[in-house]
Amino acid sequence: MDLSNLDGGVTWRIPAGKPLKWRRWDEASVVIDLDSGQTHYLNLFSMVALEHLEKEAVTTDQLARNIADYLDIPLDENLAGQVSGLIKQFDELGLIEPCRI
Amino acid sequence: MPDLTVGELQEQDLRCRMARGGLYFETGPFVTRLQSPIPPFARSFQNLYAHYPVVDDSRIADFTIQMSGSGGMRRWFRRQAIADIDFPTPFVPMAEAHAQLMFEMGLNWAVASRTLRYLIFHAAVVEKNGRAVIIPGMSGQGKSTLCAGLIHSGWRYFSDEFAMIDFDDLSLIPYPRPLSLKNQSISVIRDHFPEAEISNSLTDTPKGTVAYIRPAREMMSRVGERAQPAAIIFPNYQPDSEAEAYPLKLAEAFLVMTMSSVNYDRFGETSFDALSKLIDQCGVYNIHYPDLKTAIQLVEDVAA
Repeated sequence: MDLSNLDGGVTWRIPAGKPLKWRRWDEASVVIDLDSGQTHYLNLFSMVALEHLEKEAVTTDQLARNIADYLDIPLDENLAGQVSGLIKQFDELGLIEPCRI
Repeated sequence: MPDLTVGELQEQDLRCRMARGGLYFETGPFVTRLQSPIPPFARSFQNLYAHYPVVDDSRIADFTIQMSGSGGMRRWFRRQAIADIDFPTPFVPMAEAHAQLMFEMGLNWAVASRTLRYLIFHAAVVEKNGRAVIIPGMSGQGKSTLCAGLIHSGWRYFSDEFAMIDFDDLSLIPYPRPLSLKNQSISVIRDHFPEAEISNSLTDTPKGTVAYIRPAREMMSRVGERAQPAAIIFPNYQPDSEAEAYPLKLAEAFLVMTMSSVNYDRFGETSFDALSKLIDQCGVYNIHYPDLKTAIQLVEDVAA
């Protein structure tokens, strides 16, 4: 599936030095952003996505591929839409930022 | 036992203190200074807080609450009362007959807004054999009724309103106050536990009909003894439900607990760490029950 135009190919990352503290249980996590003081609940899907973004900067389509591989689920429009929505949410929460590679 | 309790004060002495510099009394770890010129409220207060220690007015009060009466025409017609605290509140005056409710709301507001010593959740707490159970709950889910049932079934009364947790060792701090019952809960507790010391009902309040259980003397005797939390139980009263208890996913439990906390957001990483440890230390359960007797048994089973 061609996902290369998802979000115009923007690359996303967690800002350098962003202080995130995690607590993982079972298949979900909570993470506190020590900058904003906000605590976020992450289900398995969003947890995997944010963990990938913590490791490296990725485009939305790369992230969708990574999640599909990791969770062993089909890479389709449904997944692409969910990842796009998630990127938007993370951006609005100040957890990630667009960047140039 | 305290040297002097609110109930041991002569009525004239009580009213004199409340009308002048204020009555200083202890509720758990806090000292409250209460001023009021309203005689019916003084009587109601003395009845409900009879077993609470009076402390010297040289103590520094954590909270000052002034129960003010009506001014202007309201001095003669439909008298009102309002709780003034030394910082802004959202309260509007209530009928003078509901002054006790106004006071309880005012003190709750003060504790929730100003306490920085403890991580606080809106929850009831009871304890047995050193194992404390936290019972969070939104209004109407049965928290207070269950708490009232438990404290008349061999559990020690910690609090009906606030679970207060020490950041250092996660111990729970007893904070027993008159236990508020609303609407049908009043008759449920009267029927199950005729020995419960329940006040006269306040009718037509903004919360419906309200009555208070006065903490019995023995409930106040161990108010300095903390306990470690062993379980968090979310009550769900459903008249047609089967009795059921099941564990919650821990990350979800964490999230729900942040929402039931009155001050989690104030402490950042400190409260994040404390709540993480609390969730690790406790079993976290939802219980569904059709009646109070079943609920008490479920708590016994889950907390064992």
